Amino acid sequence: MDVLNSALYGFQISLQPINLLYCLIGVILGTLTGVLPGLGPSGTIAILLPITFHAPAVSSVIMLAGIFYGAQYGGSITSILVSIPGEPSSIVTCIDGHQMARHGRAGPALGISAFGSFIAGTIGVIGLMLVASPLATMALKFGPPEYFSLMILGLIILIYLTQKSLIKAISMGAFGLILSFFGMDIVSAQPRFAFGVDELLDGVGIVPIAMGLFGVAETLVNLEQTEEVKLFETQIKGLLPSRKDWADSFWPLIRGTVIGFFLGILPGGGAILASFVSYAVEKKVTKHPEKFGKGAIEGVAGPESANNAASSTGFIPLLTLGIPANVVLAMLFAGLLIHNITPGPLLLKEHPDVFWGVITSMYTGNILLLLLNLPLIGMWVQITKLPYRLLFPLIILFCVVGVYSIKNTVFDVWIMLIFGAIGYFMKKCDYEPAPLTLAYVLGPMLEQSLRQSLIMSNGTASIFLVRPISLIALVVAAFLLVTAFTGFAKQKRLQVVEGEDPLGQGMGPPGSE
Amino acid sequence: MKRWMNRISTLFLFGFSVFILSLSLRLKVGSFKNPGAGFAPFLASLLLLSLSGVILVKDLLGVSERDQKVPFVTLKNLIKPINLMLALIGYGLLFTVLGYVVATFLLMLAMFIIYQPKRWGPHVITAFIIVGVSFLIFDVWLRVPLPKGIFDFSSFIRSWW
Amino acid sequence: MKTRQTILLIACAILLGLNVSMAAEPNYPTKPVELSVGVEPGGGIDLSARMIAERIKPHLGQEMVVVNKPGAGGRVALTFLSKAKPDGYSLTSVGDPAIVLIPHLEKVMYDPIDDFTSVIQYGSFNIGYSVLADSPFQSIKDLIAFARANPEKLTVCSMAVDSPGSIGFQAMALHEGVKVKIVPFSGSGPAISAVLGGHVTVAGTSLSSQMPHIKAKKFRLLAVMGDERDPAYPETPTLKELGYPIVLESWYYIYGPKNMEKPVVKKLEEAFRKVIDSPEFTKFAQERLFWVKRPVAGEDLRTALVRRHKEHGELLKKLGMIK
Repeated sequence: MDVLNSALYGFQISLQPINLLYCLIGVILGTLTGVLPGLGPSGTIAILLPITFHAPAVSSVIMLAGIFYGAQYGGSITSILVSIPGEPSSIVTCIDGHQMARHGRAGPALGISAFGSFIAGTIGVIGLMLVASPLATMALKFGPPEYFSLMILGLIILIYLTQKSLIKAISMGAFGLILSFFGMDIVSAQPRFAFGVDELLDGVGIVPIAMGLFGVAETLVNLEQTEEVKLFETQIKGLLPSRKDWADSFWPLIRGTVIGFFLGILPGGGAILASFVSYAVEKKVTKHPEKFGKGAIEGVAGPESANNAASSTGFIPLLTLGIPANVVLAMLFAGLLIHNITPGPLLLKEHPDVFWGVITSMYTGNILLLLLNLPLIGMWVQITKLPYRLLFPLIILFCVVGVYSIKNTVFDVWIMLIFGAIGYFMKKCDYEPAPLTLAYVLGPMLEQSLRQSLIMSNGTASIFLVRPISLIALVVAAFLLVTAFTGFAKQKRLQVVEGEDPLGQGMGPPGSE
Repeated sequence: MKRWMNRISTLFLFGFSVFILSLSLRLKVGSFKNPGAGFAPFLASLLLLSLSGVILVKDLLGVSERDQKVPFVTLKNLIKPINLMLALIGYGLLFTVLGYVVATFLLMLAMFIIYQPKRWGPHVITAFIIVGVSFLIFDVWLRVPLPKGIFDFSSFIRSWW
Repeated sequence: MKTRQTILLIACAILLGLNVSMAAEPNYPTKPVELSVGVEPGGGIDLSARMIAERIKPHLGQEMVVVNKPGAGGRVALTFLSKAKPDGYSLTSVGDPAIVLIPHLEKVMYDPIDDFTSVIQYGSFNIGYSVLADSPFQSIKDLIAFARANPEKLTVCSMAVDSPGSIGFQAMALHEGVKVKIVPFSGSGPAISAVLGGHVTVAGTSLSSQMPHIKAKKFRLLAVMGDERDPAYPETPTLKELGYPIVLESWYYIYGPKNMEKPVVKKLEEAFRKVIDSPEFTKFAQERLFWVKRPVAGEDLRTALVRRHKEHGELLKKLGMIK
């Protein structure tokens, strides 16, 4: 097969010692940047790009690519251990991953996350080799109306993330949307809701919000306890996923990979969208929906696979069309340009060594990441053994430095504190942080595609229904919304019949039959 | 306590949505044909308004919240969280003035004391170590720009290099 | 009590004893310089800025880090720049649209000339109008005919709503008395994707961004907007030749906040010039179609911009786009 030949050719390149070395450096750095919030992959790559000037083209791109998907591995580590997302695509992992850690199962959580990422990443790369071109063409079919409907679908899916009140979850989504509109309007350059504060012109910021809602708020709540805070069960139940864990995670892994594979091609929030679509899907198809939110391994296996598969396919628009999907890939683009290689429709023809070399290096990169991360699990798990009096100051320090390092302004720290307070109230009153954060991430794209679509259609909203992809997305969204409400209503009726749930934790998510 | 907190939260959301709604009207909502800067915020705040309105009404009507039975917090529980918040606010104010090293040292010390008001000695030492190590990691190794304030450890250490 | 206090005092003393007061900046630059770009990643402007930033380290002694601040044709990035500290660590790669064009059409939050320090020009991006290669439109005339028969149906996109590409097309439409729809995007990358996907009909972005697709036969270039035909596409007519006296060149330059110190500006100018004049960059710029023979810098640049600002204003008046 032609592809097989190309793959062999690619491996000849990527398995050369120097390229392996660059790959290793890349994935290590990627993991680090994933672990440390604020120090995103873009910052790292920016600093490293000049170094690549002196390195051969293929090697540098291999390294930069490694940073990109390596970050997806690292992001889940802090999500699981301390419920702070290292990357936006790891927000969903905080939900069940951290609960697993609290029950002494941090090891299996980290393990399934690593394995899932590996399997998904590898399958993603294989898929990439086989269907890059047709996938790219398919991605082009997504215009503003399709994006809008997809974002709407994404927001509706947020409801499936809720453990408690449906209305409160939707209102958090609306809150998140509104927050995302703060800043300068991208179309008219008008400042919106900036109140004359210059720093607000750039928007509120996902990192301060996430650190505040997840890190600071959580700490504030934990400190309420008058005795010694015991965050984690003392008995650590195993370092790796058990057989049952594997059995439970198998289908979520597969589903997550497929979801991530297709959603990853979309520029913008591909990996993020993929992670929580996967979570929602798992919650919907599982036989034990009540486990979700309390440490269901499916809630970790699915999303983690999804975000890694998405980061594989995220390369497609760049390699085939020359259009980078996000800032990190744009830097990769620039890196290629330095070496006079223009990614785009002609890349495959003019520089097959780069094309196949990079793709096959992703395979080796995933293996390296797995080999790196597995032994470290033992180390990471030790963190759960730290007494809380040491742990919480470190968490706070971590949050503060992470937030400050983005724009070097204390303003962001204040934002984090404000959201820490808001998050505290939210936790006490059963408003969940995940819908807010995810709506915040999707907001800008939602708004932009809405406006673009309306202009394209001369103000007729029918444009969303006339186009097939858009129509499908909206129909699914409507369906989910309706079943959410009816499921919820049913759940409430059940409660009234059987008396109040003494733990106040609800009998299950909406939509469970 | 719980009802009080719930009321505040709902009122906050309600008030916030009204606020944003009025601001977005001023921003030129535009029309469907030509959506302006206020278009999306208008719709989103409208949504939030109606939802928080519903919650508010449900609350006022006394529809029983199933989690009413959960024991809530008393003032005693709130001491540590409030202290932490105060410490963090102080940190925010002093961060750029005193620089990373000194301000963080004070913050670490404060956090340890908040949690365990008994033994200062070990706290001071631990705070010292944490600040030192983190400084080495963040400033010297990763070169994250941290505020220098009136004490400039960064150049000091670099001049040794 | 006493022991605790003593320990605390000793600790503080140690910390204080280690302090070194901050010296004034001896040699600019001592830390990385930020170069912000007013467009989304991808696309000619973003990439040329990144190219320069990568190459400048040996000449400047520090890295130059590119940050994207997309929005409103560069106005977002410029508004930030106008408020930044003039310490030489904040620069922006900016183009004509936000400086000489848009201020005539809308209120902007900065004075395009006086709120900034002009450092150096590094390129000139010619705009081209393309449709998909398999589209039925063979020329600009076809597009106009379609627009006449179907008012407000023809979709055009560009790097921003107020970019030279959009304005040029609008001017043409105005001249012909037809109505078209300009769809907003924030960067030529997303705009080109939209055209490739068939969602928008015409792409009015820089030739630099369209080049790979023209080469791959995905795009058909209908016209360029320049004084003369572009040497890379000698068979493509200019709008001028087609009867529309619209020439909106797109210079790109490096800007800093106003009141930057002269020695800092000089150092930057020299560093940039070394990069721009280097053979690799020249080759890169020529290949990517934004090369300029003699880049203007410093005071000369400022004077040139004042003049062009005035000229563009007059052009817009002539085109009937402003009173």
